[in-house]
Amino acid sequence: MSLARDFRDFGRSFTVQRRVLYALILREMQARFGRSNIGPLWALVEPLLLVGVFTLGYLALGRRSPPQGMEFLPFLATGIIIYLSLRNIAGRMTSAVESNRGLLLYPQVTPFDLMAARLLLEGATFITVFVVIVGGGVLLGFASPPADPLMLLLTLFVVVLLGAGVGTLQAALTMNFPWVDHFMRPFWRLMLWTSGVFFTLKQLPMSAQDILVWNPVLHVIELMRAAYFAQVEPYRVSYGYVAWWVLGSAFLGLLFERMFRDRRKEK
Amino acid sequence: MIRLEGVTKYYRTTHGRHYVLRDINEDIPTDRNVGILGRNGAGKSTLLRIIARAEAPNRGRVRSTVRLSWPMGFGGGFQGSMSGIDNIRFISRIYGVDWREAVAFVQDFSELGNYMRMPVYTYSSGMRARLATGMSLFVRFECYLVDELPGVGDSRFKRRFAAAFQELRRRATLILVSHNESSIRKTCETVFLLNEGKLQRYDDVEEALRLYREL
Repeated sequence: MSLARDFRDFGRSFTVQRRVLYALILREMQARFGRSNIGPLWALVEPLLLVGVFTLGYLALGRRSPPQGMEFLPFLATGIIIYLSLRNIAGRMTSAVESNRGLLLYPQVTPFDLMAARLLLEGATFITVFVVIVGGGVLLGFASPPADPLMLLLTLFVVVLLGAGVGTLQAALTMNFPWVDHFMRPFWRLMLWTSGVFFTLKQLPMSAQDILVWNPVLHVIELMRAAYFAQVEPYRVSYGYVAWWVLGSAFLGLLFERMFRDRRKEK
Repeated sequence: MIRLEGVTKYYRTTHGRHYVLRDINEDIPTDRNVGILGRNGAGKSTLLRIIARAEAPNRGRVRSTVRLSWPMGFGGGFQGSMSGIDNIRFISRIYGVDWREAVAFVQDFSELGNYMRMPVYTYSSGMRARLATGMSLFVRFECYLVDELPGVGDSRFKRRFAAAFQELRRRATLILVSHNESSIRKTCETVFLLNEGKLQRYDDVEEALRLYREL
């Protein structure tokens, strides 16, 4: 039976795929966090430091609190952690192949696996960092618990999906046109100030809103805040728009990868 | 048996495509040791990597009925910043073998001692070859793809390698890419000559070597 064989082949491929991803993730964990038990704590340092610095900055500016009665910690943490994580996911997926080129020697390891392993690890790190920082803030009394925890959790996964799409596109562009890499740093710097990390869309004049509303990172940050705070309603942002970005960027990324595969300098 | 079906490989250069392999249709036997001969830059290593599926051809496909090793040689495939043991763990996981047994076997075979716990970038090329050889022997492939027989290592390890090689011959075969006529003569029963993108089979090794010298 050829169908039975197809199923068996698929089962076998699936086993190999699972093994490869598992091996790669363990290896990436070790490379990223080291072998010591406190290694993973380093993932908390950057976001914590930034949240702290900007909270102080806000206070120094005499701004008593973020708009619409949002609390400092969840307001800044959603913005900063989502921004940093998306930048990290895209950046680490982009460098995945370059830093593991030697592993492509093994036939079961593909560039796609290298990127997928980093996506899964960075995505899990993002969710953990978010839960630890915001959860810790709630426990220590800096913030009240989220109004809609389930929606919050869903949005965390949507952020990872957006990272997957944007990361695939950034990686494919960088692989095929190395000069793109020079623009990624300024690009992400620009994103820090245009994604609503420190403000809400509603605060801006209409003309600015009409431009920034195209930015999908702003969408996920605002959606996250809408899930966290009962009094905040999504304003001009939607999950549907983010979904188009996820699908569109993943599609374009995979398409570029495919189109220019022959043209790239080989390993 | 490894079947090459219309395998074509080229590289883009500033003056057009440079063909390394041109529409190769050939069966490479895996019931005996096979040598691949060709001049420098003829594409022998590329062919070996395509057979191993470490690199994709531009056109065509490779089918294999036996379990092939990764392309061995130059001690590649290790992550320099990680220790020998960690590298062995990784390879064990992707091939689905028990890494504890693998570490024990490789430790015994390679005699690397405390170096097993040091980053691979601290190894000499001989030590890397010992690590790679040990690991590939443990995975028990049916056909080993070797880019130049490792002549590296001290005489003690050379004896060790020769013994392992003899044992290997009883259960597995080799596809050997080499410039060294004597190692081809000693090892192989069938030779393929790679020249100008075409692969020609010779079951008479001496004839192949003679033609190779005339290239």
